[in-house]
Amino acid sequence: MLRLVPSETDRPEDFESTGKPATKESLLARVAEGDQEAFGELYDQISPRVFGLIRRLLVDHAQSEEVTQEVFLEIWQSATRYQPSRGGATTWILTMAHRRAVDRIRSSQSGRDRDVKIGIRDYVAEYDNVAETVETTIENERVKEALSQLTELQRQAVTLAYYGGYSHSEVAAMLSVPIGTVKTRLRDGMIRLRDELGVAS
Amino acid sequence: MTDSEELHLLAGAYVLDALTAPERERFEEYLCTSEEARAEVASLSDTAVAIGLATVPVAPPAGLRARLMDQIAHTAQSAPLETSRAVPNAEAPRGPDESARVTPSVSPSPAAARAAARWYTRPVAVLVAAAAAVVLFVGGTIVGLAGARQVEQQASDLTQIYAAPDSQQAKAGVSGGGKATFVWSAELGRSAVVIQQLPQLGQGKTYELWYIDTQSKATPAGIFDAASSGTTVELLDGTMTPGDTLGITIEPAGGSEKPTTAPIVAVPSA
Repeated sequence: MLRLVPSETDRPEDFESTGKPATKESLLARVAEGDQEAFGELYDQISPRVFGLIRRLLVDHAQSEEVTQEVFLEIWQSATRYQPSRGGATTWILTMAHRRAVDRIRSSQSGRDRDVKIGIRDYVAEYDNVAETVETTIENERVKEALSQLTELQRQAVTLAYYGGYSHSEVAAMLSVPIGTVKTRLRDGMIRLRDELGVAS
Repeated sequence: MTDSEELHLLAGAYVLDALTAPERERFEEYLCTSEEARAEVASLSDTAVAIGLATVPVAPPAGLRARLMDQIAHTAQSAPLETSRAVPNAEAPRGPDESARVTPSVSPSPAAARAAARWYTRPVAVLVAAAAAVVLFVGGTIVGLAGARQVEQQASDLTQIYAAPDSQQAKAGVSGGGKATFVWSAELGRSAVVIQQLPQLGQGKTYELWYIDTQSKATPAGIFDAASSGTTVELLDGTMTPGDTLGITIEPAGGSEKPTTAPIVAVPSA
């Protein structure tokens, strides 16, 4: 007998921006018109994401606060240049946050212990602990699952670059592989992740 | 492997911010030329953000919100980009300073160099006549008459120009020393200049501001001396017409009605 089975393919989309219709996007549009109240609302919605990510990279609390402030000021200043057609507000903001955090790391190398061996141990260990130590959210489950599909080298390279803020040459030195290999692994690793996560563009 | 194939391989490192600054620039240039690369970068940027969203959210320190709200109340927003760049949106915008600049601010920019060149080519006869005219004019100095009130007014005017929706800036090096940032609003018809490390002039000389229109006609916009503190801030007198070049010359004390020397800095406002 023929039975109807609910489709398993509709995975919940959890890129915050795409899940809820245009909340942050519409706030950003109001910010672009100089609406300070909208800026406050946007801050309330996304600042824990921004601060959490920046602190993950910088570790230092005071520096993380400074960079978070810079990022929000930049959101205020350049909201006029945000184009919704080119991506969600969360993508725009977190991309900016990541880049500013990395800029800070690069400009103050001495401000952080960049020792290669300590670096790799910490970051890879931190990745392994994610699921046990944090409140498990859907996206973090999915990301962990997707990361586990990568080869060891892809996973280490992507993890060190994204969470550690290391450049490809630093990653190459840490993993003792040629720079060209790291470049390739970062790309095919990200493509694999994209496909695993079902990110459509 | 061709150059673009090699560049294409950098897409992963690019979205992870793992490129060096020069590599990033080269890659962004490449992005402008390749639709395929832009599509890939857009999807990989979303993927990078997905990794970011797996980070535990942490509430920022309590005081930050209030500080920011206060700060944005005094911070101008950038003018929207007129022509959208080919680089996908996922690419983060430039830093706070840079994003506020509309005119490219290499010092001196090619446009600034062109503007200066335009001044240099002014007919010699006009300059000589102008020089003769100013000898007759002996001005007094205008130091510290209104004191604090003047400073306050200047600060408020300056803020207004920076806050104007169409506020624009250009930076240029000053020959003889110093770095000048001109800021103007065509809507307000006003402009100002902020100069770092402007050298003090000897006795009998002054700095003079000018608006020079598209017909190379110069209109005086005030004289001033270098501040002792290191940062000189001056509002230009009169009204700016869009397209005017803003410039500074060194003139005999009291100022001139027409420039008698080549500009030490000049930037076009359009």
